[in-house]
Amino acid sequence: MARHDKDSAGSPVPISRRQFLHRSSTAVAGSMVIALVLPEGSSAGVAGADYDWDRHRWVYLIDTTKCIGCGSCVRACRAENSVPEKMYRTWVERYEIPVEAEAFIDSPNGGEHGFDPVATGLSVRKGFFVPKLCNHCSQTPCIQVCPVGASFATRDGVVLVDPEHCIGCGYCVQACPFGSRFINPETRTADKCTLCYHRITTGLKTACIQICPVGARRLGDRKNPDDEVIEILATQRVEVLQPELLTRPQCFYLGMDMEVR
Amino acid sequence: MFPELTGYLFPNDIHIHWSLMIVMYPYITGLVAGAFLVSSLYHVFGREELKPLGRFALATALCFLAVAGLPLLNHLGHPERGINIMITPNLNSAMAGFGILYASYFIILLLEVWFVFRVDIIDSATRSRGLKRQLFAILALGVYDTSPEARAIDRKIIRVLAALGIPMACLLHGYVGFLFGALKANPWWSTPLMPVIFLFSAMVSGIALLIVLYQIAMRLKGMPIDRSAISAMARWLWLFLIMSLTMELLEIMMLAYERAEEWEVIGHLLTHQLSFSFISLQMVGGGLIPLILLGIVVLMGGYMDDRIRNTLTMVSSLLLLLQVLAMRWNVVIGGQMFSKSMSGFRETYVPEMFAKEGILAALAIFFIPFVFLMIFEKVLPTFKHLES
Amino acid sequence: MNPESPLIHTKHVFRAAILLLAALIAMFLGRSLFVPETWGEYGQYRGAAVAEHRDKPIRHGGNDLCAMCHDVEYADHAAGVHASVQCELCHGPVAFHVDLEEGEVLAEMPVRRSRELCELCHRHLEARPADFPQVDVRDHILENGGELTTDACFACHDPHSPF
Repeated sequence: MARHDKDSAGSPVPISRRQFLHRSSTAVAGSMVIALVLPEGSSAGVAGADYDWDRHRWVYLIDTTKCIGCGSCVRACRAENSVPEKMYRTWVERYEIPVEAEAFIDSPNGGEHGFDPVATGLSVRKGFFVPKLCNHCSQTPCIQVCPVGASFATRDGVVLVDPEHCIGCGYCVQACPFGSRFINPETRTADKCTLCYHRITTGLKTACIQICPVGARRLGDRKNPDDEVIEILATQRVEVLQPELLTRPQCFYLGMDMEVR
Repeated sequence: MFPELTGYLFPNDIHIHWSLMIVMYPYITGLVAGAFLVSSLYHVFGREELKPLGRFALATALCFLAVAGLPLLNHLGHPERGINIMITPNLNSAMAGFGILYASYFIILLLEVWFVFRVDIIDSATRSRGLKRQLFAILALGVYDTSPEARAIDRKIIRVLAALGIPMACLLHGYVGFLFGALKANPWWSTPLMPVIFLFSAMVSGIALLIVLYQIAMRLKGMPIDRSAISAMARWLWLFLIMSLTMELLEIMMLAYERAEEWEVIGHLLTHQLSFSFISLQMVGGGLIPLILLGIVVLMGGYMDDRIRNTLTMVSSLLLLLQVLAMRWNVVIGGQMFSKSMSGFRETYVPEMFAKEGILAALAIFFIPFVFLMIFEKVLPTFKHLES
Repeated sequence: MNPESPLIHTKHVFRAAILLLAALIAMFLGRSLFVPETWGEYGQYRGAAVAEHRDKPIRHGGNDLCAMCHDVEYADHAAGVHASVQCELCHGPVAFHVDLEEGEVLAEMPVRRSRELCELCHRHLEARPADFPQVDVRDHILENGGELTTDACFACHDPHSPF
């Protein structure tokens, strides 16, 4: 079946394959061209002409004052990265903090299908959503404990797992203080958010960032002098999760509260 | 069977990845370390009262060491890649220690067993015919020297190996404690006391195992149970039990006193999910009671009838074998029954009977070393030197 | 060997030692056979893993890609208040609909005319930012003379450009 343009009546009209491929390549920041022009598996080396990892240092910014808890990020991540059911590379937590009572926290299926209203039975004056993902720490406890060197960090600051080398011992899962990791039941290896490495190295945003309808999630690059996220980190008050553990997370939060776990 | 959850857990934290297999592994290496200690008390420190057990302890240590890797292999997502731990070890990881420590200790133990039993191997080689003779000849490496000079050299080497083996055995078991203790992400595991607690309870389990097996073996062979051997082992057992219980309790007391966030989680664990396995099994039934029984044996041993001593130590040892298993369970499984959110719990964990890492698998793995031990006894009897 | 030499009684020790040495050398040499090819290229990990992660398929294309075929909807959408909402949020990743390398349509684009989809974002929740458009859906439908059907929202709102 062919792709479709629209004729004057608004019905789809087939366009040629060449037209489609040409247009898609310009639309998607050249990534399609690269995918088609380069032979499978060569990728011109990580410091090749298309992407130089020494010229990037990725950070992530989450604005919890904007998150509406729609869960689109969780769905998008699952679809983009084939994340198995009941496992989460990213998730959204809801906090409802009543006056003079314990905070109510939940994350039904990681927030994947949104949230239902909850009756805490108390007067809730403060409520917000907190998206979470791997913090891509620069002093990870997870890479430290991997017995075989399957867990590693790229030079542009992304923490990854090598699923061909991982033996599935689960030590890294135990070592992550944020609960970001899991053992993938299909590959039987450790798995976690990859910061959509396959996307950010072609100029795209991560799936979760792209899909977010309110711009609660943002990608930053420390090596980009004009980067807006870096500007925010430099001028506004930001926090990280569990700072006392000194894992040096590279995922920063605006609008945090002391109740956030 | 969906687990009952209370509070808020991080979505990935509802899964328990380290199962019964990870409980069995430190249990087995602990038995090895403890048995090896008893053997070294004789071979290195010359405690003559333990001579009747010296060889048996070595054999026990070897048979259990042989299966120590099995629970781990069974647990790995990719056991065929397990060897990566020796091919590309990340030396920052305590777990990478497994490859090197296990291999080195295996070599030391194997060598020590060989040197200790060498004369018996040669003896069997000269007395048998045919295939059996060939096998024993290979085991003897083709050398039939049983002269007093050769034996003297053997004894020296045994002493060196046993001496080397003590720190190796401590490392082989201690690194597991470090593996847990150095994880800042988990407050139930994270404590500098962890390697020490593991080690002392390992000694407890190993000595207890030997007491049980020794008494059974002597009954089966119709040989007398040596009084000084049992008294000595009861003494060492009591000592290690006191240290072990002290440290386990100390950890809890400090956490309770400091009332930091960890205590919210651990207090809940101890009173809910682990109330039976910790309070009833580890502390009271497996802790206080053997402490009293062994105390009676040690303090009143001189006036005691042999049969009572044997019975009390037997009962204590069986309880202690259970206690150390409970301790491993409480650490490994207990540490996974709460979320890293520090505000959510998984209220139950029941290992499945027929699952890959289930109860039957654990029982089977635990059963194998006993089979090995029986084969070892047939080939190289460990009590023969007493029969003269 | 001189029968009086003290070494005559160490033959078994030497044999054991040689055997041990041979085993250790074999282990050491054997190890290097199995170290992965690209190991150590960039650090203590398998270098090829980086390229493998980069080569994973891209599934979400972004609104501009949808515009190539669906330019009418795209224009409506871009002019309305839903302009910041990704097409793929409601319609799923483009790669499930169109083969991005061959340009062939694989499956029909999912269209979910369901109130539930709208509610994901717009049902009132305590934890949502107060300035975000949200309603008590039941009240909203009834007050505006609608019925509580699954596609009630579409009676008044075009999902591409709701106002």
